[in-house]
Amino acid sequence: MNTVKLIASSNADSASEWLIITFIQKSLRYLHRYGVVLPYLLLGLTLGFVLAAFWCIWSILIAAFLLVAWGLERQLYVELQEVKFAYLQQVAANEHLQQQITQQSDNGLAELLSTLCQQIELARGDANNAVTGLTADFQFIYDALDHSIHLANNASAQFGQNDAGFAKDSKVELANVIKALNAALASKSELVQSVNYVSETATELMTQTASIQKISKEINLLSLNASIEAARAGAAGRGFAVVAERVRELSDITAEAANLIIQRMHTLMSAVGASSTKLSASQQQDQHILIEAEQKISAVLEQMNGVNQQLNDNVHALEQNAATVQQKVATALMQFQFQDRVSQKLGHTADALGQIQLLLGSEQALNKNQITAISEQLYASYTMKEERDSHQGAASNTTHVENEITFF
Amino acid sequence: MQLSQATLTHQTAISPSFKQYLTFNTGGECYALGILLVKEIIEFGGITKIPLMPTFVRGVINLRGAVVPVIDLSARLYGKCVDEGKRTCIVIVEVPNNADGVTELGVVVDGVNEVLELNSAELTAPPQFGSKIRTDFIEAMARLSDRLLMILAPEKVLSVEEMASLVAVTEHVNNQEH
Repeated sequence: MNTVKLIASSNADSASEWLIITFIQKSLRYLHRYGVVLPYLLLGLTLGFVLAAFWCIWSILIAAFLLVAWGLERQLYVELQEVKFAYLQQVAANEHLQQQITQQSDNGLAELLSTLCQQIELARGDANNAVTGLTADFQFIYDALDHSIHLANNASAQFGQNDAGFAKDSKVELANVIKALNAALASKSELVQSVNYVSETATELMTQTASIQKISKEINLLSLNASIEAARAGAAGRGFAVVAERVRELSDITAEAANLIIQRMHTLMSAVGASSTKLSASQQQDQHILIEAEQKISAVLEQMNGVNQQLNDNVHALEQNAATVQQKVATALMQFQFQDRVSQKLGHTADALGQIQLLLGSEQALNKNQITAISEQLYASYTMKEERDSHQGAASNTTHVENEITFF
Repeated sequence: MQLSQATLTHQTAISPSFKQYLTFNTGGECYALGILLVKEIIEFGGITKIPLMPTFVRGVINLRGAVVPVIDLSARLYGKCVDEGKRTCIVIVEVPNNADGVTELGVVVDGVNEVLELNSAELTAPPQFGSKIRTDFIEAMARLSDRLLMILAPEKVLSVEEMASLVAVTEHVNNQEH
């Protein structure tokens, strides 16, 4: 189909285009004819090319490896040479140093030991001075505390005395006040008693008046009886009848008077009763007030006592505290004795160092026996057990002759 | 006053038309009794009650050894017992009986007032009605200045026979009831 198209179009185009088209047409024709063989040909060509390429690459790689290996070997050799040289140099330097050390060791050590001894002595002196100063200071503090305790004691004693006196005075005065109040109350109660007595008397009077009434009534009856007797006596009793009548009248008057008295008495009694009630109420009120006052006063006194007690307690606590501090200071003063021990220890050490120095000065080689001798001498010079313990702890492998004498 | 009374007393001694009466209160009214009937007046008290007696018989008293029955006048007249008070007393009266003797009786009254001397001119006959009691109990009425006074007829009011019959009737009734 394409070919037909191309042929159709070629009719209208130039001669070059015609040639190309002709070539393509020929090619297509050959392709069509030998098309089956072409792929195998191409495969064979490709395989051959690939094999050639592999060979070339392997050759190049092997050559390169050989080259690199040779270079590395050279470099390693050079470096080993350098290390060997440095080692040799070091060894030489060490030898030199050793020589130097051996030469200088005797003189330097002796000097060092001497310096150490001096330093130790110096330290001893300083410590002594410092501790002496401290001891003096603490002694001063101790004295000052003693003085304070003395003062506090005095104050406490004085305070206690004054205080007790004050409390007692207050108590006495307040008791006087209460006594006065009681006296007032007693006088009032006397008044109440007198009023009550008046009331009782009035009641008695009432009773007596009532008896008067009764008597008047009986007289009335008697007079009536007398009148009757007089009447029965007839003419002879006439005069007596008059007397009887008069007696009756008198009895009536007496009864009226008694009635009046009783009425008045009732009025009086009610008035007295009212005042008595009021007085009693007032007395009770006074009693209540008095009791309250007593309670309050005792409460105040108790409070005062409590405050005093507290003050006393505080002063005592202050005293105790001061005493405790004083005790502590005394203990501290005792502790300062350690300086002595330190000084001794340092002295022993300095002695040992001095001996070592002497040995070193004799320009003989130090041997182990000499050192052991020094150590044992040092051990024998110890006065304190802790020194020996420490020494034994430091040199537990060496045995020492025990010196039984221990100084404190 | 004393003088005039004395004069009056003197006059009564002369004139027989004057009569003395004892006035007393009972049941709220004022009564009088002829004084010659009255023996004495004693205080109320000491009455021994007697069982199965009508209400107007209060009991008996011991009057100097003699047993005297006591009548409640208020109960007799009004059927209502006297309320005992301060002024309550017993009037001892002598009532004539059939056997030509006298019987002593105690009469409880509310209170005794006085002994009055009355002229017969002051007395009038009892009314036929207007009083609370049987008129035959009243002997006469006395006109006083401010009130009227009933003079009791003792032989009626304190008739021993009548009272005895009353007691008998009461006993009979009581027996029947039992």
